[in-house]
Amino acid sequence: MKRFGVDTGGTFTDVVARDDSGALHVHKLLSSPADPSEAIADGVKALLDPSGESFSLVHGTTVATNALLERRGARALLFTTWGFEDLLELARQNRPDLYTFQVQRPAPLILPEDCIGVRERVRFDGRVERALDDAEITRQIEAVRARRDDIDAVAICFLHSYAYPEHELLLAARLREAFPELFVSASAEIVREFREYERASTTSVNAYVGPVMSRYLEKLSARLSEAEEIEIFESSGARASIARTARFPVHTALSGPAGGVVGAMAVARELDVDKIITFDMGGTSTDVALCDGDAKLGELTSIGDLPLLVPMLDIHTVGAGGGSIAYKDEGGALRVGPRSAGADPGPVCYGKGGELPTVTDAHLVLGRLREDRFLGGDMILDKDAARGAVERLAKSLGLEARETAAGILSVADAAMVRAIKVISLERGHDPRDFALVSFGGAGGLHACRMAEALDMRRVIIPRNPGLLSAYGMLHAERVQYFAQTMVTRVDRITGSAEGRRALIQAAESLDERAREASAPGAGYAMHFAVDLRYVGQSFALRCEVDWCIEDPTEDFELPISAFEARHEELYGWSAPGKPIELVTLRGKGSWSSGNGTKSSFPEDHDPFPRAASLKKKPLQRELRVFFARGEADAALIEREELAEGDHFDGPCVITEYSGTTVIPEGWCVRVERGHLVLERVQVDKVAANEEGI
Amino acid sequence: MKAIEIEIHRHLFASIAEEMGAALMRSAFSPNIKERRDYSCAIFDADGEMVAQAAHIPVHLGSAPLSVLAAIEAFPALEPGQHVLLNDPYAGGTHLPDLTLVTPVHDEGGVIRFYVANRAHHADVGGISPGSLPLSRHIDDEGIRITPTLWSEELMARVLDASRTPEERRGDLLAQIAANHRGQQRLGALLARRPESLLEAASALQDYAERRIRALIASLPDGTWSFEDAIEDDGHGHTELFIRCQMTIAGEQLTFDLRDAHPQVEGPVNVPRAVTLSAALYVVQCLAPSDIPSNGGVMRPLEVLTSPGTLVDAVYPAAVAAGNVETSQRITDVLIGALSKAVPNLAPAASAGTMNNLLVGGQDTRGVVAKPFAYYETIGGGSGASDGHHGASAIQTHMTNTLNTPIEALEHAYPMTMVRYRVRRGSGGAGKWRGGDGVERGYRADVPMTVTLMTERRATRPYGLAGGEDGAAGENVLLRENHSEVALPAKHTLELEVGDTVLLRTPGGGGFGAPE
Repeated sequence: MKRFGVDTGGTFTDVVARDDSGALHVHKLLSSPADPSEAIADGVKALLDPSGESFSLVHGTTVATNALLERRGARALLFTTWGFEDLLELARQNRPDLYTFQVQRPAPLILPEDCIGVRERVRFDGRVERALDDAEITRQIEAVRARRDDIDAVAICFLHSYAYPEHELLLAARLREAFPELFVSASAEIVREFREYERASTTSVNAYVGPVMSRYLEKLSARLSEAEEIEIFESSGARASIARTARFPVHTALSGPAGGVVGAMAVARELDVDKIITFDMGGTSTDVALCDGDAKLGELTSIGDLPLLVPMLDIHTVGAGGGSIAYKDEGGALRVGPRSAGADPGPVCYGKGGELPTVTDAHLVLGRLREDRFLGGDMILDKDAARGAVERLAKSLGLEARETAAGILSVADAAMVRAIKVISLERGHDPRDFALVSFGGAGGLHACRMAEALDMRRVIIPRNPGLLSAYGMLHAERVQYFAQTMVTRVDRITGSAEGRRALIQAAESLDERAREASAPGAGYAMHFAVDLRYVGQSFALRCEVDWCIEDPTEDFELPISAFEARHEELYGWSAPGKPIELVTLRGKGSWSSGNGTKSSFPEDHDPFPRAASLKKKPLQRELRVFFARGEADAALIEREELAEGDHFDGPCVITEYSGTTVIPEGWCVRVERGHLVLERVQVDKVAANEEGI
Repeated sequence: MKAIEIEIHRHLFASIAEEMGAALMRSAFSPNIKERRDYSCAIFDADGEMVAQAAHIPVHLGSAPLSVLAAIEAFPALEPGQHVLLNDPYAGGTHLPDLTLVTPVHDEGGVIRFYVANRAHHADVGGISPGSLPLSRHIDDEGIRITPTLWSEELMARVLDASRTPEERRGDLLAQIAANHRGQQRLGALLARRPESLLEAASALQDYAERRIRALIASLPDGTWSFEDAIEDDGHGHTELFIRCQMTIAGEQLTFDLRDAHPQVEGPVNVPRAVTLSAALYVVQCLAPSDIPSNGGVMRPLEVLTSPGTLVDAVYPAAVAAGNVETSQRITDVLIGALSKAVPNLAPAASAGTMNNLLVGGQDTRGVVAKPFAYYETIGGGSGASDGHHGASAIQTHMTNTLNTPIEALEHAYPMTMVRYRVRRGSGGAGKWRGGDGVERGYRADVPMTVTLMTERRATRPYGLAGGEDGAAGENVLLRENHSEVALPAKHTLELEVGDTVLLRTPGGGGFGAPE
């Protein structure tokens, strides 16, 4: 029996499998973009015992993401409450760029002429002002019939449907009855939270990608018909049944970067670390996320310009990567990105026609990247060309070449440091309490610099960083999130038997939804949280509670003091006695059965296959490397020659197939469970590239 | 300062201003701040020159520095822990609902090196009608006026006492303090570590922005052009209040001469000079590449001439409530109109030209205990087309960029029911490039309430350019049960009964080029 984690990227499909003994097997192959399931099936078969072996897999798919980004989804209709047909086009009325004469708005996913008003109206408290009657339903069914040939999906989003979903569900049921092949999606089936535009956007995305995803999943199932179970990795970092994804593909819209975050958490757990900031620096952009025990879910999340009210990991992206182009702007400042040389032509040193210096070229010029060690030596970099490009830029700035190269790195750092501040300081977390887990092609070149700038003490470079995302999928938990917007004052809940009953009922109804989502007989655990705010605020703080749904006779306590403490911590003030309201009740259902497991590897079992094992400190040769604090001699080390327990001090440069890690003086390195753990031993107050916090 | 340091510090200052903004938005109370984001945060040097800002609202752009200067002038030797609050349009403010809080940042030697400031629009600060944007005749009709004053409990009590919604004010003020405190902490920590490079960067960043703006102006043709437009009425029967601009480009210098404007008037459409400066800065920043930082350097190559006592440079005791939101839009139309003559391919036709302000207040009797409420919102319109681009529909234009309040949030918070919210099709001006369409938005009263409308472009229309047609004028309408539509004036206060509906149809943008 093998369990697979499979991540399909634009170029490669990564496959990681674990067998019954806990040993890991890995395989990387070219993706098959026309039908991604082809490469998946090949990759899985490559690792299966040819004599026949049972298996299951968790799959991270970019089918929904690509359909959205390339606008290749289905043509859909949107039904809204009458008078509010233009919700998607109106959006939030603000313009994306503050200072421009040519105001442009992204086109909505569903065309204005495909948005249809339905005569019904529900009030804010769930009371029906105008019932959805049979005649109206019949009329709308006829409207769909008239358009049946050119549409493949329908989205439904009525005002206040989180408080009274019946109208939406009724219309959805009648449409499904009339058109069994039509993909119908009602907002209340996806999310029971307020904010009509964001909910309509979420529902439209679901309808837009629904038919595409259904076709894909059918193909995948057919190719892997022997699989015991196929599960799909979601943007929240959890895995879900294939049946759920077929109905709610919106949950996979941003699952790509989530895999790395979950993988990084799995690595951190193996090392008994629970507070991490992930740092995934690729060619064109860098993703950062913060995990404090658990990965954090984002608020007001979106994909591109489309807001999504579904649980997604809080991943912040900034347009700086190894391929980011450096240039002098009209004001004479050195700028880096967001324009990127990408993979083609790529940095100047790739020798594929790039002429403008990139971050990667700067590293090469400074000796931080070895021209003969790129992709394990498969690709020789053109150092002279890189130096020439940097020199041209330096001349225009009136600086030395090395100074300019160092400046390119500092400027790139500044943008990435700012991204990490957004997810830490702005959310009330001190980055100094966290370890930085670095992956992605360019991560190791900047990780120690980031850590020093943010005064962080520890950096972790996972083993096989190129496969971290697939590894994360293997570790994903089976989790679903449920929510119900309530907007009720806490004193009205706690102050009367009726109020307390209403809260218990709401919790029971979330629990019921979790039960419905379960396979028959599967046990699950439900954890509740409440979003609280002072009456009048609109951003609520999420506070976990310790309620037991089996024993609702005991009053559900609301975490008032925890809320006030958190408010004080985040905003510097709280106002005890000021009325508080419960905005949204949330439930997190976890299923322990099935595929991935929470547990890490067995204690003294090294799960990674390894070519060789060197006992000694593998000092191969010295080279001259430019660090943030100046030039120094550094040891050049091949990662695959390191063994468990090896430890040594910086400065050094560690190379492996998927990247290079540059470790300055003042850091020590230890190999622990296959991962590189970098600790800052000497914390001097003023590092040369320090940004400060 | 080296090219490298400039870029690094740009990120550094910007991230502090943004963090202040996040703290303000998340802990504030009025929808106006938290949902609509009608606030700005900024960092200033010890001379009061702006170093960085996190702005959502262009109208705050040029006016925030004047607030800081007024605070410095009143209190040149602020101690750590002190804050200055102000809203006086005649001493650094714009209109009374915008409360600005200024806080010094000292170095370890106790010397003031920076100021942090934030400005937030409060939904009610008193005055003769809810929402504090009344059809006033005197500044005293508009609410509490605060000249630069040291923050204290007594001062807060005064603000609370003046407001119809004191609890909301308390929360918003605490959020403002929290935001400045955050900025002060971050800057203070940086100052302790490396004061010299920080101070040098603050000034180098301004020089940098100045250089880039000079290069921009130098790329425009030299000459003098003029343009005229008008505020259609002041709500008290004075109409056709002209604003004329003579624009001169000479080398690296750009001058907007607005001295020939209508004398200040009785109604609340006057603006202090700060608002006129904001409009000028906004127009320049729209012309400039988007990556030029907003700071004191941008202003240096600009000259804005105004005459005290006119609509665009009002003096005490002129009423100014609507000037900030309406006249600022018209000044922008005039400046862009002049610009369109110099660079016809760059400047757009007129956008909606109004923020379509709606203010509502009364007693919310839906709960067990009646409680007062005051609500303010602005509605988008069509944006103007330009050479090669259609205008955008249903969008906030020019001097504002607030978000809408979600209907589901609004109906929870206030005793109103929305009856309609859609794009007003066909309202954009025809042209080779079409103007954007306006918005139709209708509100039904669920309890008796007072409504004030403060709108423009109801009689005149947003101009088209190069043969493009004008956008449609806006309409304000009252729907009473069993009655037909009753047209409402552009600026008007009325009492609604339960079941009455007010409907706004906002203007479309002008078209560009003759229709084909």
